[in-house]
Amino acid sequence: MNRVLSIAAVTLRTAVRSRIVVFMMLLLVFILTGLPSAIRGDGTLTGYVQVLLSYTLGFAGFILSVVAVWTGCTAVSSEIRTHQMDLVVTKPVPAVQIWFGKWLGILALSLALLLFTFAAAYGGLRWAMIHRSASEVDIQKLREQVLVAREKIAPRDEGLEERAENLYRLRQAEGAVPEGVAPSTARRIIADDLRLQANSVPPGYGRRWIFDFGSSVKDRPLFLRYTFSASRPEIEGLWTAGESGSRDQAVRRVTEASGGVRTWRIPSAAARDGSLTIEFGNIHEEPATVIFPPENPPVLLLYHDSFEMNFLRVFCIAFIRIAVLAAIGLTAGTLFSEPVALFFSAWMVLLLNIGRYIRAMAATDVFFPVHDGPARIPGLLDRLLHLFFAALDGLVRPLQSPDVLGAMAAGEWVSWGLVAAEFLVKVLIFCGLLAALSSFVLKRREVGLPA
Amino acid sequence: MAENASNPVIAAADLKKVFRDFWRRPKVRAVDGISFEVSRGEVFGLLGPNGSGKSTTIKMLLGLLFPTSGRLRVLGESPRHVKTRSRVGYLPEHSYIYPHLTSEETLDFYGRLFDLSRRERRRRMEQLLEMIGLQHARHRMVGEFSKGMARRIGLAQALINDPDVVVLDEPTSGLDPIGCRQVKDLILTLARRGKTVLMSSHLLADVEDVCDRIAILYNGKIQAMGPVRELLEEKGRSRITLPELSPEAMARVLELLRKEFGEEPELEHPRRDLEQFFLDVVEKARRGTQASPPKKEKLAGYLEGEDLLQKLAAPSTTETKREEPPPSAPPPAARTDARLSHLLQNGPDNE
Ligand SMILES: Nc1ncnc2c1ncn2[C@@H]1O[C@H](COP(=O)(O)OP(=O)(O)OP(=O)(O)O)[C@@H](O)[C@H]1O
Ligand SMILES: [Mg+2]
Repeated sequence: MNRVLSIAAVTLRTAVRSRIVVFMMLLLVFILTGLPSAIRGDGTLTGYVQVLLSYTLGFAGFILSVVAVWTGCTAVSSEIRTHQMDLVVTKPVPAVQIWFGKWLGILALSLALLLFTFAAAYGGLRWAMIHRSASEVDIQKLREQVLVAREKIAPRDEGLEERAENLYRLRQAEGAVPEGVAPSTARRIIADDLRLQANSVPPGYGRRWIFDFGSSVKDRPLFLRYTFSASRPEIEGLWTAGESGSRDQAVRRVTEASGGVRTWRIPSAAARDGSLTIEFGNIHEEPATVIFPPENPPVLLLYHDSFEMNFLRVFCIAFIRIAVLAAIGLTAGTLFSEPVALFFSAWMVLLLNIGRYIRAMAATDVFFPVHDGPARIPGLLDRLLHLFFAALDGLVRPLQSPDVLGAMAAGEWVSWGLVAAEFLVKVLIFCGLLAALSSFVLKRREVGLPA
Repeated sequence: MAENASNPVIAAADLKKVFRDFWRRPKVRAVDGISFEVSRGEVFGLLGPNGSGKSTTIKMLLGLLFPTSGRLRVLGESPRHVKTRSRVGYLPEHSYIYPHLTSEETLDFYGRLFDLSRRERRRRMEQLLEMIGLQHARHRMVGEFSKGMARRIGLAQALINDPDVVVLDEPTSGLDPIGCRQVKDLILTLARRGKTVLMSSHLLADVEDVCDRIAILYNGKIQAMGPVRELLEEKGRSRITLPELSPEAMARVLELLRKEFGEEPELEHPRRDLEQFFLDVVEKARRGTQASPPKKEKLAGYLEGEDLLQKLAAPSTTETKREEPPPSAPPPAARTDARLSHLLQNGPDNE
């Protein structure tokens, strides 16, 4: 341990003394102060805070992860290039200790910079709350919808899958499924159709969702978040929440534009015994159908714990991400020479950032469809490409993390469970594998060769 | 192979190193089948022109390069063995130290890599800094050091673990003559304590002064190897050194020799070497500028085996057949030379 710590200390000291830290801190201050003023929010205090929490912290975090990859890359490879590593590997230090020493050093550096960033962001937030003028409504919105950690509850499952399955059997028995259509395709079409039907609300009709949350609601208001589309620009609707006819039932009559995300603040009294029924009635005068997108149903948000706890958890996840990137850089640096390592890690960072597109590619069967011809059957090239992207997706997906900054800015709960899962998968398993790989290679590398 | 007093400390057999290019095509045959053994307490010198494969051999001894073929054992183990490394000290060809650390931090860092206790690290650091004469620069960044200063720190780090095997790649390069002398004294002291030293150098005088045996490399092959004395001895010639004789006595001696060999003997005055002359001049200059008596550059106590001395009344150093007296007292020849230079400086009116 003594050896690991001394290597870490030297790594850290070298970074500090080469003034990279001072430069980074200046850059971070610049981002933290410059970005929130440069990005135009909606002019409200809430908007300002949300920009601060998502964009600003996101950008600062990106800069920090680049620094982590870069220092990781150079930590070993540049020392091999300059032969400083010669004097380390000729001492009785196992390769794995060298790797961990370097990693710890970079982590200590990143931790300091990340703490600085988050502390500055929190300070900026508090400062804005005191010094920026804001309306009562604005402040209430900020307190209730941003500076909280709210759990997201999805509506109760309505057994649509089962109904779709039954319907498919029925249709098949009737002989209504055309020849040559794959069963999976037929099932999907039927299920999609059912889902769309269930979420379309014709004039004069209603739609009901039940939310189960088990726990008490702690006397805090609940928030329904929904979006819909309609065949008219504006729709008149009637929302109710809670037992119908009860004194505590919340009722709201709205005229709202189609599209866009809306929230409805529901007093806690409406929700009792761990569940809440919410109904929407389409009461528009002229006939117009309202559709709630099946893939994006309404959700209920209810208070879980404080913003500060959420902030702390998001900090942990941000740190875990940086630790992973540092490990990737470090491993690249032990596997390859310095320029190759930098190139490789740049690619890794890019891949991690386009994970969404890779996933989409991995789900594609036919890569070069002919638009106005008959559908092409997947050929060899398609299959190879599919395999390639599936493999890439398999590699990248475990390293993707959910957008916790966005969640935090929306006042959504980021759980300790998520933090623990990230730690387990990314730090213990993934970084452990990288450490094993690196020390295996470092032990077998001729350090005395010029790079 | 178990470690045994009779086994060689370093054993190389038919060692080869071929550097390859990216496509693994052989590019340079840097070491081409060399074999040698170095036993405990021996000082072994590798000589050879630039590019003859000295550093390559040394790097293989340390596990920094892997032999292409052949067998290499250090302390009975592969050089890449972690245990072996704890008993080896290495001074590389260039000073590969961290520029952003101070002298103290540098030595402390390498000490920690050997898992030395904090107290032991402090003790050795103090002694080493004193030995290399850099106490005044203990808080300065190594990156700002002159070449010789960096070299000295490099030497100190090689000795921090009180190694049994010391591998020095051109230890005297970049050092001033005083530093060179110290390094040579140090090497002799280490050898007397039973440590094994392998060094490379271009400075033939240095090698001649300290090495028991040498190997001369050329083109990756050993061209000559053996004890220095044997290699340099001119068999069939003798030299007699006499005090200054009166002209008559000299004539008689020459006459006698001529009769004996039937050949004119060569007559010349012995000359001091420039190194000793330089050392004397500097010593004198220092005495002139310093009020206090000059401090003798001291070897680090732990390297001289002071711990051992404390433990045992009589240290059992391995018998060395070496005539050199302990370096702390200047050899008699040097003393005479000192007197000579003194005379020279003060002019003839003194005598
Ligand atoms: N990494 C390498 N790749 C290719 N050739 C190399 C490499 N390292 C050394 N060589 C070659 O091997 C030969 C021996 O080099 P080496 O450094 O051992 O010489 P040396 O005897 O130490 O010389 P010097 O006295 O200049 O230090 C040289 O021809 C050199 O060019
Ligand atoms: Mg060399």
